[in-house]
Amino acid sequence: MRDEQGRFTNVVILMRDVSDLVQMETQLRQSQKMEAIGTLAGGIAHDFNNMLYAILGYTELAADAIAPDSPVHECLNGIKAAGQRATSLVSQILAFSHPGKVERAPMGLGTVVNEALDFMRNSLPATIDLRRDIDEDTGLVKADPTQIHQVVMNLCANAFHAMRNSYGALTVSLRNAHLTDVEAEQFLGLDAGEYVQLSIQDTGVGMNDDVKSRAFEPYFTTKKVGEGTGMGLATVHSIIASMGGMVFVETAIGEGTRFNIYLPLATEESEKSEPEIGAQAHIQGNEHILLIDDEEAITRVGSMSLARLGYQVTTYTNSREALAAFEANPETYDIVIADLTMPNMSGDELAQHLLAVRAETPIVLCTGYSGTLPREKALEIGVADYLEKPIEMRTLARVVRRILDTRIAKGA
Amino acid sequence: MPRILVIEDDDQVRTMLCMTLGQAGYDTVEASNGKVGMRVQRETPADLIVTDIIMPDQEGLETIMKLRKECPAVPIIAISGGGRVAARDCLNDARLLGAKKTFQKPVDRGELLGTVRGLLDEKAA
Repeated sequence: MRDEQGRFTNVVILMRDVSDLVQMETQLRQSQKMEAIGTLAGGIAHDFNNMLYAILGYTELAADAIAPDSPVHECLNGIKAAGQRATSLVSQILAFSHPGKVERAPMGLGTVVNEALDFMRNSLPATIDLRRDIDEDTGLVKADPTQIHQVVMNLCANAFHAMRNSYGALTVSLRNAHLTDVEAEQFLGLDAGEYVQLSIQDTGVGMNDDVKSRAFEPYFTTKKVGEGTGMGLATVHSIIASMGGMVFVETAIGEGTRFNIYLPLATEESEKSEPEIGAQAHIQGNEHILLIDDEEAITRVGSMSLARLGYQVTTYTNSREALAAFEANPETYDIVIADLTMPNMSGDELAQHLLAVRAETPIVLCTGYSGTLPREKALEIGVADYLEKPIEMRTLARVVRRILDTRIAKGA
Repeated sequence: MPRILVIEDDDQVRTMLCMTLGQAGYDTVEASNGKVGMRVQRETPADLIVTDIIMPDQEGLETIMKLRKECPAVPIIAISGGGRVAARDCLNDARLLGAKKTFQKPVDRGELLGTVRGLLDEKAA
């Protein structure tokens, strides 16, 4: 500040902490970038599928045209394998840009997180110590078990990757978390209040700043070609965001990485929905169910939910393999649940084959789209029931029990 | 020899499909969009039609609808690369409009040929 003669007399220093603002801007840019990439991906997937189809088709034609012992076969097999890998990448990109139907209901996450970890434990090398700190009685969150499963699997897979060259510990914790105004302000984008916090922590290599800032970006990966698609964390981010939650990452080179996920508790009115399926004794059973759906995630969740009710469940993602298994032992299965739309052999086709082998087999067909096969036509084939997706597990369990009870009553 | 009409705007995919079907013993005729496909079908009727869905100059769904009206006995297989619009929905729509079978590209050759044979047998029976 100057006096009347223009001489400096005082200095005023204004300081403003803009780190929150900078972080907010970064986050906004990040989410806009992801949205743009998602849109772009959906747009190019179609053209990529055409190109891949040409590559794979010509490769097969070429393979037919050369002698069986020609060394060129090895080259063609290489092209085919790369083409198939690209195909699976495109389908992941499509799944990311056009997520399928999601069935969200208020649920405790303890059981599904534990089940995902049980599933994961089998592929865990002995060098990694899996530690669980799961509170089974956390508040209810509006969630789709398949999506929670996927989030846990993707984050655990990354944790394994970060610890692949050394001994390490993978710690998964689930607990209730109360965020105060101050904490919520720190965690941008969240309101103060009650949350369920899921944390997945590894003692692996950690990330540098560049990797950390790009970690959630689609197609960004630190894995070798063929080991990762770069869609894992992007998918986690998009699932959590769609549930109204946030995922944060803390990391230090050489020390490890921790992903903290905050999911808002389900509101009062949604909590009043019907009780969980496990609580209902009248839909339990011990019969053997054959479950077929080309989506592995669906068979996994279906099998877990039905197994929880006491059923013995055998699953297949390929309808031809399911048919072969059934043909080998038709008496083993008490009921069959099959998806209608499957690539190898559609559910209605499969149902007809199964009924030809053993006419009294009860079959439940599940479809994502009623237009494909009208209910009357499905029942004409001879299936016991026909359900439209999204199917709540409770509904499916009820239908299964009703069909099995009717058969028992008939003395079948 | 049964004749198959291949309607597909992507030259490479169309040629490859015709070669694949030709090698399996079918006679093939081709068209680069739905409009041309309709004309070809009127001039040299095929026993089975394989059509892409997203094409310029009359796309696949409209083509399926019109073909079902003009030649209801000819089975149609719809294939799509998906992506631009939700892939599964447009294949579902194709089935709803009367396509006997739908495939997402890239299509497994064995499955395609098996389906073609099945549909032609069914038609002959």
